[in-house]
Amino acid sequence: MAAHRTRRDFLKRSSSLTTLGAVAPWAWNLAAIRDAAAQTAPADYKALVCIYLSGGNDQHNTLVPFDPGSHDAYRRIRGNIAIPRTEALEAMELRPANPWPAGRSLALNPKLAPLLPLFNGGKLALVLNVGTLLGPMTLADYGRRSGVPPKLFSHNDQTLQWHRGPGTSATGYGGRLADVLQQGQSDNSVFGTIATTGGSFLNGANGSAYRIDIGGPTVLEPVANDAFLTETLQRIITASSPHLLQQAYADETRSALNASVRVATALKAVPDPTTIPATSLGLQLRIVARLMAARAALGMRRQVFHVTLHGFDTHAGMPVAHDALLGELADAMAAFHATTVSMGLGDKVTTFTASDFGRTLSSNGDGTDHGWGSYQFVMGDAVRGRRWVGQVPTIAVSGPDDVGSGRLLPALAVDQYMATLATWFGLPRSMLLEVVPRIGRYDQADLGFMRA
Amino acid sequence: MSQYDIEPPPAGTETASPEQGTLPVTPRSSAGNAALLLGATAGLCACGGGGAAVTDDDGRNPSPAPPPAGPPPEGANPNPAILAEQRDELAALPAEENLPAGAVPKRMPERSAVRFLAHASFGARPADIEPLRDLWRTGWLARQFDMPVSKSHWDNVLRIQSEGGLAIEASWDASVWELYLNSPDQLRRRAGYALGQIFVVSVKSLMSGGASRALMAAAFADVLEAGAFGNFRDLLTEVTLSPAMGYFLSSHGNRKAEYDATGQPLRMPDENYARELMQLFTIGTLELNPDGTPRLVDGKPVETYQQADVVNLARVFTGWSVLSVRAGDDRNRVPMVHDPRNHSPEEKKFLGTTIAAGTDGPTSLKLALDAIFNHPNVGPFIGRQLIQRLVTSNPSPEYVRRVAARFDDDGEGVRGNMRAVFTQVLLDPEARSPVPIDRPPPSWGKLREPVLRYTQLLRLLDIKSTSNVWNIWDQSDASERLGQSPGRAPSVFNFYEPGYTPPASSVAAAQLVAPEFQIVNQVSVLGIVNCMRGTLGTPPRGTTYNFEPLLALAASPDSLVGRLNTLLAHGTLSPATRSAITDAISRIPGTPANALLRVRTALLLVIASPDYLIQK
Repeated sequence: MAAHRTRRDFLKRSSSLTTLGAVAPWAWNLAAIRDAAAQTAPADYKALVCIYLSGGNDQHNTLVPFDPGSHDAYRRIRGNIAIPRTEALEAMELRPANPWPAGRSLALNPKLAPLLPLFNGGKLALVLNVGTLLGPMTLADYGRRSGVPPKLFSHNDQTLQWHRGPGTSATGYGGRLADVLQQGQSDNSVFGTIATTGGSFLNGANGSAYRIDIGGPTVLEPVANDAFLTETLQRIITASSPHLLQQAYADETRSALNASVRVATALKAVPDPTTIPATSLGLQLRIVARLMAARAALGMRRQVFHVTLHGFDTHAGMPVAHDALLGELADAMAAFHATTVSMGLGDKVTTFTASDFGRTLSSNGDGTDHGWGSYQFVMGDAVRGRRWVGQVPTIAVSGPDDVGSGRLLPALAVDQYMATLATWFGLPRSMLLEVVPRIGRYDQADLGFMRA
Repeated sequence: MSQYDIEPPPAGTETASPEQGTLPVTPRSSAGNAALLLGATAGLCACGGGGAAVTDDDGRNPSPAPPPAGPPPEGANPNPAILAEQRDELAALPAEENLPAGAVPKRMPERSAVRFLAHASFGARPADIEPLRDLWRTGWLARQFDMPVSKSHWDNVLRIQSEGGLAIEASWDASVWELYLNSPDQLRRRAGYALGQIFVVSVKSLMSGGASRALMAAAFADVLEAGAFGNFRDLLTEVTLSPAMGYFLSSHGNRKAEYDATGQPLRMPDENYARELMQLFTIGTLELNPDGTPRLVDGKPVETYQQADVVNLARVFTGWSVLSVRAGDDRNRVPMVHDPRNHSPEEKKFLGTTIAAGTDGPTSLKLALDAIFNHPNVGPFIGRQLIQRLVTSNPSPEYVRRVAARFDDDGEGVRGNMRAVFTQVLLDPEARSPVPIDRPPPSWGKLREPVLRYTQLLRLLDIKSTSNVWNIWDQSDASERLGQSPGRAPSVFNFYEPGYTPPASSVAAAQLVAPEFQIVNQVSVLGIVNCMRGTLGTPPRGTTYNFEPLLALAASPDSLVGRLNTLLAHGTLSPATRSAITDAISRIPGTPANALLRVRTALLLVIASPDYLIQK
């Protein structure tokens, strides 16, 4: 609570810089750009980019079991939706610096080919069998229903747990990270949390992310080209009210008005990175890259972004739909990484994936169902790449990692995944509990996939 | 206009202050009215049980209205439900209205009519208001319930695809907007729209071929509207077997499990529909009390089902398929057909029900839907969401309990009678009480969702067709359009979820929910204002507006804004908002040439104001 009070005071003190009074904090951060000493580029800079794979990404068709025994089992269980062991797949076999468990190996889905050079070049790490947990857990615990996270296998509930962590907190990992790192910073250190789509990952104690459209900020159009009428409109749509819903709407509008023109101005000088494909994900990463390029004008030394690729709930039509999604993901990720390198930010930007859950190993004939543990990617020059952490699960229904139909009991917790990223981002060990309150339940608070 | 024909107070005499919600009840101008007011206010709960269609607080046993002391009030309708409505209105009479002691308003006040049409239709068209004022809610509902479907979505989409030459997915949009904006059977359309935000399908995710997708979405909308006043159990069957749902949640082509010689599964049934049917369409993830609050055991909520229930229920939905392409257009609307070869012969054990191994597909389906339909969660789970869609985001537990009780028993022992459920939602004392009009409790009401803002504005402007296609398309882009469009939710979780709370907001601090805020963000709040500004300037191609009644008021900004306050916001604009808008309009020189600019500007300022945006 002390931390929150400190930050609120800080925000209150600084909000007089804005033209329209008190605003939601993230918007204030953006609004403060001009006034709060953005004359010099920030001394250091870091950014985290969460790519959310909405719907629950199928882990086994993303990183395909490659050793002959596992691939045989995988093919037998998945039948027509399995990725066949073709030459294309053979070319995708991963040879990590830390060896696979004896006799095991994984290959990238051939649609992920653009990620292979990143992996081999040490810019991409794999986090294997990570999922929502309340603490370390065994199959026996699951059988006893002991310590099982609530509402497993449900999209919206598991998404909340990936965004926020276990428990009932309304804040997300990214939002809490912002809350803690913002606290105690000097006035000219500005933290931005920015999203192109919904989700609670960036919810903080005092506000949520600044929301931006792929085309840039939406700016209020003038009324009849008349300054007084336009100003009246602005006043009316931001009017305070004792009615709680009205106040919430007016607050959101005020934060939008405060930020929109300034962000639009800051972005004006930044060209669109057209080397990133014009896909759903690519367009989101383009605006992310532009906001990074505009960091000096925005006065931001730390940015956390949240973008979303929809469509991963592949119950049906999976072979075609999933391949297309992975192709879009890999093309966008690789081009985005190249963009950050060309901006001189290769080791300042870490991009990671997250998803509702993994999926069943069993097939329903045309797709797979909701699972639990999943595989994720971490990308950037600060990543200890060409490595994997976690567990390479046994490919079997009713195997040692299976809670039913090949739903993976997670070997790593989302808490550990997020704690590792937060630590790289500059969160002091002493503050870790404020962002990941249950991290003490695990032996490893840092999974080691980031360079110090 | 009779003496009791109550109008909103003239501009400048409004009694609400910016401190609305915290004010004591406005003092009345006569002792007689004050006494009546107290009686009516105190009677809100007791009288709420008075209507034939309205249960009492106990929620189960409809009880007659407490007999009024002495003779019926002057102007009173002998129908007890209407009498209860009339008594309610007394509580909201402006201070300067002088009614004889014992009298009630004979006609429904205009602003109450506008408010009710915001609950029960796509917004008040000018011509809708006067008939409703005579009929009161009770009479209007009876008429609407009995009104046949004026035109099916299916027929309209087919017409647009042929006559309009628009054999693409957008024929769905053109059709649905036209029917929502222009149909006389508004209650059925609105009820179907509300049900479609629970039983969600999205036209873009149905199947290849835009024209087929549009037809499939149309057939699904027809199922919801045709069944909106029937029984929820029938709706469950029709939704389950509809081609749209078959595609959207992939139960089309779902087949039984297959095992190898060692008993290892080679294929499992698709769990998609089984899970979402329980989670989103009927019972939810937590056991509920009859008032919609989570049932706690040892202080903890109880999950309604586990993964094993989903796995078992998934077996029920095997063997069903949409007709083959040889069926032509009909495959988009004919219910899925069953192939016993693909149906699971295994035992199906879920929610405490066991369907024996070997039970055939249609029988299994019937038994499973019966079991789900009879789960005690359905009434509060569906009832609360219908209240949220039509009336208010945070209904009291008592309101939910009364609606759920109506679901459980319509008064004649029938479970799932949706006509009774919608009646309770709309006539419940908490919904109809006009007290909040001037003095809304500081959290009551809901954000008017973008679709309803748009339809209300266009219906107020009496939008009419000038061609056989209304060119209103997908409006779901938030940066330039509404950020919402019928039948175009991003997933089965709709545009927003019933439990959504905007983070770190005044709503969150009060531990309330505000579902519609899930699509409120820095992009959409400005995007929709720009969209409305453009919409006011240019009607959608193929349509025209009628500004005449408002142009007649353009010379007097005060009258113009006062009129819009009634017609759009049912009198809920604060004095500060009214005077800000009136001042702004007064600044536009009052020449005839400027009349339209004044009207458009006043409309924009009203519909952009938070006073209007939160429907109380």
